[in-house]
Amino acid sequence: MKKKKIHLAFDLSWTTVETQWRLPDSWVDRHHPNIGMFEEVARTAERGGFDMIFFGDSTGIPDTWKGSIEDAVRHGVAWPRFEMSPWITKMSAVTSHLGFGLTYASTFMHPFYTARLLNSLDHITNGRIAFNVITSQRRADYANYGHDELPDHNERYDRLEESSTSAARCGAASTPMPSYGIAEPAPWRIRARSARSTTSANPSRSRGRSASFPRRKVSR
Amino acid sequence: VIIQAGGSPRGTRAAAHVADHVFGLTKSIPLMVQQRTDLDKALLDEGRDPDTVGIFWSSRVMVGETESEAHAMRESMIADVPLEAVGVWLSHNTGYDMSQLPPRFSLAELQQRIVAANASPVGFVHLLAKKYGDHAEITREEFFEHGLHAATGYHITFAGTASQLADRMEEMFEATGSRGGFMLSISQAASRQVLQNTVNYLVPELQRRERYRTSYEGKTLRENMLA
Repeated sequence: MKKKKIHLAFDLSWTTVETQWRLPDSWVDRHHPNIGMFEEVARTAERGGFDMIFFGDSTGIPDTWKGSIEDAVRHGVAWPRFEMSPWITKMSAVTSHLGFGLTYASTFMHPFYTARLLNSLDHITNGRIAFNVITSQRRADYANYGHDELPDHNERYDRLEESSTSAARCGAASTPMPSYGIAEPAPWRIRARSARSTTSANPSRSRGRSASFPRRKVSR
Repeated sequence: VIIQAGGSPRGTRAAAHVADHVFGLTKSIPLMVQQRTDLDKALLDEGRDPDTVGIFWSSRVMVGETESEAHAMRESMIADVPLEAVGVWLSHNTGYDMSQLPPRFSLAELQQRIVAANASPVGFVHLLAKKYGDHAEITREEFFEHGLHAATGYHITFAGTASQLADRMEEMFEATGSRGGFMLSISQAASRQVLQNTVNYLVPELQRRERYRTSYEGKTLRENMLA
């Protein structure tokens, strides 16, 4: 019997604590990040037959520790944060089969905008885009989008399901589709608390809260 | 192609609903088998074929020409890491300011504080509690030592020769239903050697075992991930 093949992907997210930049032969260049490094990683991954290079993304700079981004910036923990879609178009230009995984949080991003962006990227890369849909759970992320608190765990996942369904309909999938066409109106709304959300780990928090996000001015 | 990474029961249900492939954390083999079993059940509930949905297990490999070279590459990940950097990472990922930790505490007590911050119930502290028990008390120093291993990815890094790593990957792959594969973290800060050795030594070893493609099967990512 033919053996099942193992698939490999590279995860190039900047999410862990890194101190190897100071070692000889590090990727880190005089200025970082350098697009040449990303192109070299892409060529090498394609030479190794990898399915894709994946970029996780949390948009926030860590600021929970001592209530400040200071140590995150000093030690380069999840900093700097870039929007990776422009980098992916450059990496796709030096490869022909390697895929690229990109992450957006359905908790914050509108499904139409996300679908249109991913559809465009999928066209420019000839069908090589994967969309990693996340709910996001970090304060630094939701503060950037102007929220004081997150909807609870279950509610975030309810939203992920409905926004992904509409995003998929709009063409995040790489099957041929009419460009930009939304098959039916995206059901983008903040749902009233559903019956299954009552299993929240911390129901007291949501009591008396309206179904929409509280807004605040972003001070940073 | 849609991928999704939820590891909680609600996250697994969402993955079965929306994802073409799933991104999972590398844990002990029994816990990985459990996630695969849960996902398969959720996929069947959605009327989908579990054979078409792979889990990509997140891990890191340090491939050396020799075992000692590989271990030296792994040790460099945790050398001279400032405590503040670990604190930043732990606090960011749990939603709780770890600079406030008392000298001794139980993991159950810490989990309560994290849940109160409305963070995801699956995380570093959860895994630590599974390992040591909810009521085990640990010191701040011990906690940061574990945190260092998680924050740098050291704890999910397998170091060895191509043949040793291929053995381990085949074992995990077969135990979890022979679908999907591995999402190997590489650092933008690391030495080029980490990436080059993976492609130059590990890939040919997997090919020799007929466990890895020798050319891309399709044109699109969707075709290649399903091949």
